[in-house]
Formats: sequence, structure tokens, C-alpha cells
Amino acid sequence: MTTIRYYAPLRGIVGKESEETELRSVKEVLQYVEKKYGKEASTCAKSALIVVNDISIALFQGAKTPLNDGDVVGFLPVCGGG
Amino acid sequence: MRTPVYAIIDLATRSSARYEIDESMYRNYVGGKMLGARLLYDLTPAGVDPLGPDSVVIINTSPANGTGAPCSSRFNMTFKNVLTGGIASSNCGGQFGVMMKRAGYDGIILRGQSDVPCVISIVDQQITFSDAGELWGKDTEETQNAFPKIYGKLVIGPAGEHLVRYAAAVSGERVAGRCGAGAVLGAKKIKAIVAYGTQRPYVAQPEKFSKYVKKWVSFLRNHPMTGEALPNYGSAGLVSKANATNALPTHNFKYGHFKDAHAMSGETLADKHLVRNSSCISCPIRCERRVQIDGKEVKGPEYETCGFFGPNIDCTSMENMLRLNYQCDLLGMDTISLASTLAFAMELKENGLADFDMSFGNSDNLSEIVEKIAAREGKFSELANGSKWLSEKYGGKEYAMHSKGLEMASYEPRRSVGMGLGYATSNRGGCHLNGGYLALLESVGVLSMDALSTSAKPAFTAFFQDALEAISAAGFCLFSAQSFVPAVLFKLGPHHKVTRAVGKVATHMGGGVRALLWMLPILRFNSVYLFPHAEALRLITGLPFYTGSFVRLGDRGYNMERLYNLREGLTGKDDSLPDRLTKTPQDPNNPKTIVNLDKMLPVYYRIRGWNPDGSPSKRTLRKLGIRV
Repeated sequence: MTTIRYYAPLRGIVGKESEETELRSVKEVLQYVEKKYGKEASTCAKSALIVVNDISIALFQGAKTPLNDGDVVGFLPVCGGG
Repeated sequence: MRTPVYAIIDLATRSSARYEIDESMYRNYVGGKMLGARLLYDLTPAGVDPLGPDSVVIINTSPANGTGAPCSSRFNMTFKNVLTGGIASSNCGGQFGVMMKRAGYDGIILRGQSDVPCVISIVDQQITFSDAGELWGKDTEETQNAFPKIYGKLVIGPAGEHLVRYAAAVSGERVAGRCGAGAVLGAKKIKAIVAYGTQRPYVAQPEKFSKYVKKWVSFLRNHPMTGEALPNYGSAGLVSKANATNALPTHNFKYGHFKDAHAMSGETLADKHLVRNSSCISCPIRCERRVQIDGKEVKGPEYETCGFFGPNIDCTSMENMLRLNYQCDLLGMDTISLASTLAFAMELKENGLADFDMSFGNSDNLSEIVEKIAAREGKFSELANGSKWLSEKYGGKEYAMHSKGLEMASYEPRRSVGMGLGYATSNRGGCHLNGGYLALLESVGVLSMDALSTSAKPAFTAFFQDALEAISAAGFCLFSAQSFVPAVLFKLGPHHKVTRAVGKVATHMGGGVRALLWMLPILRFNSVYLFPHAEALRLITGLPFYTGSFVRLGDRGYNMERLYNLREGLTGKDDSLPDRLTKTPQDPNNPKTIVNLDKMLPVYYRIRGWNPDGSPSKRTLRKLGIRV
């Protein structure tokens, strides 16, 4: 079981904070979001900072990053400041 | 053209005199921190005690302040840095600067020391003095409430009165936080400076300027960074981003990732505590967070405060952090230096070197301790001297997280090595902004250069240090520069192949940036997409500022600051970082996760036109027109 956690603005589109799935990679999660919630949600998800267990997928294998039981995938809004 | 008018204020005699900045000085240094650095160099002898009677404090504005240009409320304080002994510039978004300008003065130069606590009033060019009386001892909110609402105010709290070395000066709810701005006012026994006036700021080409402001505001509002990300999450939104790239200081910078960082993130702040967002004067970005504490609406925390009162001390109580943030504003204390000093003290205890009754993972008793630090009570008085002082007394220099004496901001440089170079070379000490803020390109922004590669970092660091220097000196908030990353990259997202490709190219663009620095004199264009500040400055001052000359202006300012540091005894050896960052890899399995200063510093010096000892060469000074 893996968890998908949504943050604004994606949360506003999918209408929920999180959900449990059996998906096995980040790529499958992105496909799932597009299929279930539509194009707008997909665009928003792809432009987010995607993290697995709070670490950017850029430090793993990008969209090919595999998911294991208990992993949490998050879609964080890109921010700035300092 | 109109040259700036300053007032020299002598606290010992309670007198003031008009002081006009000459045209050549104005053309070369413009205002804010750059003009401040030049004046500080000229008006003070070498070796003065920053808290002594011979020290000088310059509080000044810039050409853009009060003109209605976006993000243009920032005023500056320049003085001898209480923590480093070098240059200090502290920037603040409160109303005081704009009101001082409307009162007829572009800046004030404070000399001497008052015998008794006092208040300075600047109203329609008239400068008067009065005793602070019962205001001495009050917090910054009570002090400001003692004056009419329409006045611009700059005050200190108990921390400044007790000369806490990282005491802040407060204007409204905005803070000149770093380097001991509150301590230098406290040493002069100035409790408050208030200003009011009705003069309109000078704009050389008002009609063109007005049109340009509309264009610029529209650009900022439509850019994903300044129109969405910063208004929605403020700078606190960076907690999750830094955590995602292992760049979030945790356990006094020992690690770069905190498993419970979400509890202290901008997202959690927005979900659970945000009442609304707000802004400084004439700012369309509106990054300020407003939160409630005990039913009272107050200013919320910035990223640094979330990080340092959270992951860096292993704590997850956002309620405690919000209270500590508000408490620091009331007491007049810099949250970065304070919280970093607390983390250092916690590690001293962990290693059995000193015990200040605090430990990692517990923020419940910090409020009481912070109060004692501000009052310099008992053993806690030592904490008021900062982490460098503590490390010299108790040991632990290798993990006292400062550069030159100023505590670093909340970016773990072993996962942002250009930021590490910036911290080390920053003239005011461990500051991300004076350091060029490469973390935004390496670890926390949409565009990710290779955070561990050293190849292009010296060139990028020099370029952005100069650019940010010029933007600040012109009077603009540095957040207004965050729109330079093309909007399309935000729409594509950080993981898109185009965004990644741009990051990869930038990682190897050191030569290109060096070429750009050489070509500055011929970059005679302005663009709202790059540095809109240059065009605004041209229209406000009537002086020929273009992209190239604007960045060159910053180069001059950066060198002037460096000259001040050298005169006060700092050298290239002070361009350093604690051993934790330069000798201990953050990831034991990845030797690249250190800041390789030995490799980057010589290249950086060469790019700057500095000698191997970190001093500007004669040729560089001649090129920049700096005479000392």
C-alpha cells in the first residue's frame, strides 16, 4: 500500500488530502492522477515538486522511481523566498 | 537630478546638521547599503568599537523608496557589525524609511552617545530630541504604540537596551534583524526614532515611470513565483522544498533532512494557522503571513524562523515556534542568530561542554530562556554574545555555524555548495542574501543546477552577489528579483525535461557568466524580464542605468564593503566555514557532499579581480572608480 498526499493547489482539484493506492512507481501515480482526475489535475501534478517520503524524486530515479509498501508520494507547490 | 540630503545627528550634544551627498558620490553609490558602506568607511576611523561612542550608525533610504515602484519600501541600516567586526547592513520593510524621506531626509548619520535614553523625532525637516523616560524597558510594540499611528517608527526592545549582540531594530512589524542593528542603537541609548512628513519623493521622469510601474506590477502579479507561490505560502513554503533536497539544516546543521519537517512547513502554516497574507508598503507580492496567537493577529514567521525553531533544534511544535517568533519581535531579537546560537548551545550540552538548560527536541522552555537572554540574566547572558563567542569559550568551533561571526541562514550548504561559497565570502558574514543566494538555483527553486558541482558556482556567486547588492541599494526588496526565472519553467515543473536541461546547462555556464561580467559595460538595455529595477532606477534618478551598469554598480558596492572589512582587520582567511561543512560529508557515502572552498575560493577571487589574499587589486579598484 502506498499513500498519495496532495497539497494545494492540486488538493483543490482532486478534492482530498490523501488516498491509499497499490501503485508501484511515480510514473503510475502520475498516470493514475490523469486518468482519475483529468487533464487539469495532471498538469498541476506534473508541475509540482514530487517527493517520495519527503525527498525529491530528482534525487532518486525521477518518474521511474519505484514505490514500496508504506511509501508516501507528495505533490508540493514550488515556492520561493528566503 | 536631485542629490540626497542627510542629517548628521550628534547624540552627545543633541544637535543636528544638514549633510548633502555630492553628485559624484551619488552617481557611484546611489543609496542604501552601498552609499552606507562608503559613508561608514569615510566617516569612521579604523578600529572603533561598534558599541562605543565613536561608532557611527547610518540609517538611509534609496532612490526608489516611497515612489510607488513595486517592493520599494525597504530602508537600510549600516554600521560596524557587532558580531563580525566588519561591515553591517541590515534591511527593513517597515514604514520608517518612507516617512523619513517624506520628512525631508534621505538618511541620517548618528554619532556619539546620549547620556540618558532618548527619542529622536524627525518631522517636516525638524529634528528634535526628548528623553525616553518610561519607554526604556518597554517592548517594541508598547514603544511604538506610544507614538501617533501615522508616524514611521524605528525602535528597539529590551534586547537592544541590554546590548544583545544580535538585537534587532523594529519598524511596525518589520525587522532590521541582522548584525546587531538593535544593539548599536541601544549603545547610543536611542529607544526610538520617529518620522513624519509630506514631501513627495523625486522622480525624474514621472509619466514614463508611472507607466513602467504598471507594467512591472502586472508582470509580478502574473509570474508564478511572485504572483502565486510567495503570496500563497510566503517564504515558509521553502521548508518542504529544502527538506526534499536534503538542504534543510537539522540538528545544528548536522543533517539536511528532518523526518517531521511537515509539522513546521509553509503548507501546515497555511492550513492551520494562516489568517491572511499582507505586505509592506507598495508591494504587490504580499508574502507576509498573518497568524493568530491567543486570539491576537500578529505577523507570522519567515522560512528561517520555521527552520531554526523547528528542524535545526529537532522540534515539531509550530505553536511554540509562532510564539517564539512573536516574542523575538517584541524583545527585538534576530531569530536567525538567536535560534542558531540555541542550537549550538544544545550541541555543546550534547557533547558535555556546557549546559544552558536546553536540549534538542524540546522547545517548551525556550520562551523563558529567550526572555533571560534579552535581559542578559545570569549565565544566559553568554548566549547573548552569539555562537562564535560561545565556541571560543567552550569549544566546538567545528560546529559553531557562523561565518565571520554571523550565524548562517537556513540552507544546508553541503547540498548547495554555491550557497556555501556565498556564506563564506559574504561581506557581512553568514548571510544568504549578501552571499548571492544560489540556494534558489541549486536546491529550493524550480530550476536545479547540480547542487554538488563546484564548476560554475564562483561565477554565479559573484554575479548574483553584485545583482542583489544593486537591487538592495536601489531600495527594492530582493523578492522582486525572484521573477527572473522564466514563468514557463514553473508551468513545466522542476521534473520536466526542459527544466532539467536548463539546470544542467546552467551548471556548466561558468564561462558564460564570466563573459557576461566582462561585457557589462556594453549591456545597454533594460528588460522587465531580467532586472526591471535598472529601468525603474533610470526613470527615478535620470541617470543612465542599464542592465550592465546596474550590475557593475553592485560590483562597486561589494568591493567597497570588502575594503571596509579589510581595513577593520578581516582578511581572506575569514572567508571560511566551520569544519562540519568543509570536512565532514553530509552523506558519509558521498564525498561530494561537502563545501569545497579550497577549490572554489581561488576561482572566485580571480573572477572578482581580487588578489589571492581576498583583497581587491589596484586594477579592480581603478576599473570600478573606487578611491580610498
